[in-house]
Amino acid sequence: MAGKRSLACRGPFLVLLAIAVVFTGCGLFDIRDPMQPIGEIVVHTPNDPDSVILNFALGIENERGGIFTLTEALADTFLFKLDPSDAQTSYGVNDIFLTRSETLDGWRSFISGAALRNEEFRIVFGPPEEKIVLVTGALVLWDEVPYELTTTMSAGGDSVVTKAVIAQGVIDLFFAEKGSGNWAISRWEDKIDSSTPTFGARIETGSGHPRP
Amino acid sequence: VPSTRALPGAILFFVGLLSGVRPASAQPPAAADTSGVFGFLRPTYTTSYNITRQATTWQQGFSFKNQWNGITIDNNTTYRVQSDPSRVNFRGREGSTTTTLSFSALNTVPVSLDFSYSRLGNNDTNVKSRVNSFDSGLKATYNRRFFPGANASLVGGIGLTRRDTRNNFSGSETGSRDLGLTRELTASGNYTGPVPGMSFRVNTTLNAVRSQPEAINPVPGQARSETRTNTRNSNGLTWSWAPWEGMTADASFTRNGSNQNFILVSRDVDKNNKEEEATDRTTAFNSSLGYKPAGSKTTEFRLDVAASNVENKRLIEVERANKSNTRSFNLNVKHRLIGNALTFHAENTDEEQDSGVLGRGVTITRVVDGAIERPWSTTFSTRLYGEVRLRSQTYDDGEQDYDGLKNRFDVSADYKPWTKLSTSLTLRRSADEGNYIDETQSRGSRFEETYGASANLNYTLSTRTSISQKYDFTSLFTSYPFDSALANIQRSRTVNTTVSTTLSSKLTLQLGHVYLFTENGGYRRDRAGTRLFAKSNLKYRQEMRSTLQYKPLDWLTFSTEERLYRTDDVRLTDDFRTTSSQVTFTQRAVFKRPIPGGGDFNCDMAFDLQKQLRPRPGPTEKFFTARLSLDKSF
Repeated sequence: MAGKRSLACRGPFLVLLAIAVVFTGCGLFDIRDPMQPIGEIVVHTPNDPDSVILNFALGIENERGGIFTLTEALADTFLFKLDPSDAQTSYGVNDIFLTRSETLDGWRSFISGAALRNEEFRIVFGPPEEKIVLVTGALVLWDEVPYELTTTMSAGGDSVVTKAVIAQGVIDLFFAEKGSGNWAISRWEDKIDSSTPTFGARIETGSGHPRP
Repeated sequence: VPSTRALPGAILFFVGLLSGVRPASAQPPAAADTSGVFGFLRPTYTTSYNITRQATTWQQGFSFKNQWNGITIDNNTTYRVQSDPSRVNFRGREGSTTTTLSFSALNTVPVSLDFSYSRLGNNDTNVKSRVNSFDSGLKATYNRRFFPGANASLVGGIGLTRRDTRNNFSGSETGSRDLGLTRELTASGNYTGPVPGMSFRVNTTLNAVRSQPEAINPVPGQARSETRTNTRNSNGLTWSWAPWEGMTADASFTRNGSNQNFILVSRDVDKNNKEEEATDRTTAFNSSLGYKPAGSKTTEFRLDVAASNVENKRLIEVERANKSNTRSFNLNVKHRLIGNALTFHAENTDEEQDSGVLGRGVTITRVVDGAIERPWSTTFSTRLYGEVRLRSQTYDDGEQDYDGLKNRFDVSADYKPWTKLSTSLTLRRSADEGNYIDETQSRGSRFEETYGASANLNYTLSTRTSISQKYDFTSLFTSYPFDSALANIQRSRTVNTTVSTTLSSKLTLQLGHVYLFTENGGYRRDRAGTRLFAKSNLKYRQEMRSTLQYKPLDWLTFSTEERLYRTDDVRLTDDFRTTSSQVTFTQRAVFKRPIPGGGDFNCDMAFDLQKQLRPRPGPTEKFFTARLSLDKSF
């Protein structure tokens, strides 16, 4: 009886273990080591929403080198809600939400455009109309935050510098505390505020979000 | 050119005209039909109204379907209005109506007429956008049965389509209009045989629209687009075989494509009014092999193998262009062996992508996971679960290269010593290594290791009162390979307690308390490798809630809930403490009631009061949340 019970316990486990070892032990799950880093981006410890928004701006300014900083500033479940008019123009419906990876792909695509390679970007957020604590220590809404994305382009050396506002709008920003005690942006609700395109309109074409 | 404004009226006129048709005396209407609108229509009306923080959405739907004398009419209409008071002038509208009239011509050829009209519109301070589209079509179907088990169907159609898009950005109007002639041909065939349980299906569809898109406000000197034919095609071949009960095998091959030309309407002046040429191709192969004995809940086998190729080209919006090749297999096995319930899952997906702006890259996803569950007795059972997950992406430019490996192992046990008490204990360990490979990104690489234990306890004190408690202890170690000074530990302890009691047959009370204590700080390893924890921050979070629920009738519930939150953050370096607290008070009514004569009315309304108490008393916020819906069949 003892032998049978022992088999009952160990047999299936050994079968699973053997299969798992075959899959995991033959290099199929090996990962590469990172290269020695160059440059340095000083980021703020994201222990409150203010630090997160500063890190987001740093990520934008550092362009391709800032993708990691941007990724960290957005929660895993981050959603970017396009302005209804932007959504309607591109997708034919009012409600379109980009995921975190779609948002990052859209930004990466936007700054990779051939015409934009020599540009420097800067995003500035104005004060929110109101900061609403939805759940103390866990969820915060910054209501009606104005923003401006500007580009500075140098041509013919540093003598000619052109600066332009390429995206503008107002957002409702939701911040959530991640499990590690750090904060991140969990939702960005974009709103058109002028004739200048929104940030969402700039990044959605390269986001890869499927059209209905 | 049909006037789109006249279309809704025309459709209503059409419906009204039909309402005058008398049912044939040979087919007397059922008694129930005489109670319908006009004596024969039985429409359904649905409506819902949502308010969340004063942002509203009102949705309405109306549909009906009726059949008489071999004629079927089917209508579906929806309308939605959105408003947002934080955006003073915002108002969004979406509406669509589709009507299909089907009848049989020459007694053998089913014919259908389709009318579809949709209108989308948004108004905002500086932006107005409108999209109106109308589609109409006449389709005829011819079915042929060649011999038992083999039949074919041919559908031919012709119609008109029109789409108007207008956007007004700060007084500057842009947009396009497009009127086209549609032709559609669909052929399909089914064959069951040549051996029992085997079947084949082949289908092909071709849709062509000949049109000349036009910008409503072209750039001076801009030539009008040439007349073009936009096409969509879809082809598929499916094979399936069920050789014996519980065993299935199937495979399918599909190839879909489209070539579309249209005028871009965009606020990007470099793209607006330009004629876009979009070409999309998708080729896919899917196959599966499955085995599940009839009536078995413990044994199942399924293997899926798939491959697909997607190619999207764009002339103007090149950011939307991409190519990808995906190959995947997915294996799921479930089996009971000597008293153990085993589950095993293995998955591999290789995706090659090529995008004009992101470059060329390969993403590999590999997952192996499995579980063993064993009921040792009627009161005691255990479960082991393990998972390994890899995500690896490699791009030509190297900058987006990333490798992530996650391992997870859980052990849990459930114990129910007697009917009033149930308990469970879980121990878990996970490791998450994420490496950004390129030198410009690699500083973000990190390793997270989590150890945790949790225990649950549910105890029924009496027939009226029960208590549940959950204890959790978690330690998260995060380290960065290129900056050991950033290594940190977060230790947290949580106790969640809920007491529920039934005060009377209509009144229940629930009290809850959540306690969370978190310690944060950096760590370094000594010579022996032991982590030395330097605590820098403490966080105490508590939440108390009381909920009183009164249910005077089966369909009506009132509840009132009060929640008090308090968070204390303590910085140990200078012993600085920040306390924040908040109170919320929610009153709620839920109404769910059938409507006499068919249908349901649901209403869920809540009024929230929220006030920040610390660190500074804030204003009392009030907001209203409501969800109302009505479904009614007439």
